Amino acid sequence: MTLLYSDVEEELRSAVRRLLAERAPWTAVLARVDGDEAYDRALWRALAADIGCAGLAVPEKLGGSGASWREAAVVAEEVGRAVAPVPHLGAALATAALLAAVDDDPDDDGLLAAMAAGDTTAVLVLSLSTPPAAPVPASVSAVGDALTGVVTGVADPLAADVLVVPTFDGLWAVDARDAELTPLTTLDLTRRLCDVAFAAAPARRLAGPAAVVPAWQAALRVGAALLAAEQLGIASWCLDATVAHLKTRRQFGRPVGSYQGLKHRLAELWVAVTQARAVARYAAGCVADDSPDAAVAAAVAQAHCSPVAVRAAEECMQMHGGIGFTWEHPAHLYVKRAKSAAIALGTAERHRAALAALVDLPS
Amino acid sequence: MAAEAARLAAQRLREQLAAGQPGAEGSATKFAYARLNQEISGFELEMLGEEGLRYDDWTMRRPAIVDWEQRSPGYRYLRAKGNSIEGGTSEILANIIAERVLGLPPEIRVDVDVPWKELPR
Repeated sequence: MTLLYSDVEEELRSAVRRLLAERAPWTAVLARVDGDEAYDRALWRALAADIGCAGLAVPEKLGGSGASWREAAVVAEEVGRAVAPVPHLGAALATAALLAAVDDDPDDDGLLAAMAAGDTTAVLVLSLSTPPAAPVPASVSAVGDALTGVVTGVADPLAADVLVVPTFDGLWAVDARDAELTPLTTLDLTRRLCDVAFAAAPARRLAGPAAVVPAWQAALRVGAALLAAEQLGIASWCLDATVAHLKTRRQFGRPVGSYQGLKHRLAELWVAVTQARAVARYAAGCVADDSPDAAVAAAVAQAHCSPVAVRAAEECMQMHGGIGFTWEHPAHLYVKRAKSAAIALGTAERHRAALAALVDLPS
Repeated sequence: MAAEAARLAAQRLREQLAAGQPGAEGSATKFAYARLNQEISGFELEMLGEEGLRYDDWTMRRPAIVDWEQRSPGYRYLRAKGNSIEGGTSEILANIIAERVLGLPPEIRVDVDVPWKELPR
């Protein structure tokens, strides 16, 4: 498995970066944070349908483009770099769950194909803070073809047409209008969370009980790998922005970047980001290939990339000095996104614990 | 443990000040507390998990006091980021400790004999 980016991936990156630079510069992201409409639906449509990001990991015979999670991870990096207000993670989690549940035999009324084409946005109903190896939650249950229950702190349902819901009885699709969404006030305003409640909501069963656990585990594993890519993107932006600032900003007649105290901290951060890129690439490659090492690779990626993204964002804020602590500078968007991403899908601590079990360390 | 060491150092500083012996320990105290506040408030969010993803209130206002205990963990985390910037950055404090306390040679200055308006900025 190569850890390098292919030419196709670099072209995909350029296209996504160009789109996000044009449609979601940080000033636009900040304006949206202050506004009522949390997500940029037109931008998501351009990303998911026009560029084709929603269907990257979906095989061609299921309506996708037959690329893989490796390419999807490149998109996640760019979404992280731009802290873009799109439901990328929620949609990827739903795609991963569905792909694992339907295997090669889609019995889903074309939902997966509609998702892959970017026509329908489906989001997985999962608490964003769910740690690795967590069991399928019992808080939603099915009676006949109706779901009842609550899942708290779900990422991206405000942008969803369809909610994909795992229960003990199967994997279900619920029209988002049939669920009660309660938006939460969140630390990170670029990825919105809701409590999702169902009161005998009409549901379609996408897969039976036997498919639920594999679907749930696939979603957590793929989610961990993609989140690591997003964290890599966050860290890369923060490092680049800080280096650029320290080259131009002067104090006591010298560029601030000429002081060793700061220079060495950025050099160490670069080393950490270099390692983050390698572990994130390896995790993306492992989930793309459905490698036996995927669970280990995803845990390593989360345990490493979570603190690197937080550190990069915090150093970015600190080294920008007073301006970095203001609402009018983008540093706070990255600090909040990085800290929330560190909690999302389990903290580094939880992933280290999962890793210890995976490599048979005595508990 | 780190919190207790910082608390005792601050107590010792207060005794020094009361005895009329101000020293560079003031810089050390602010330096240590900035780091401590940031580490503890960051750890608090991660320890809380789901609750750590939330925030209490984004309404813009100018508070009369820093409401450290009444506000949410998210506020404490973000507010603590200011501790290493406001009132002398931790980097400047580290320079003061290194140069004035330890007596290490200062950074080579290029601006000493140059009027401020002529410095490149």
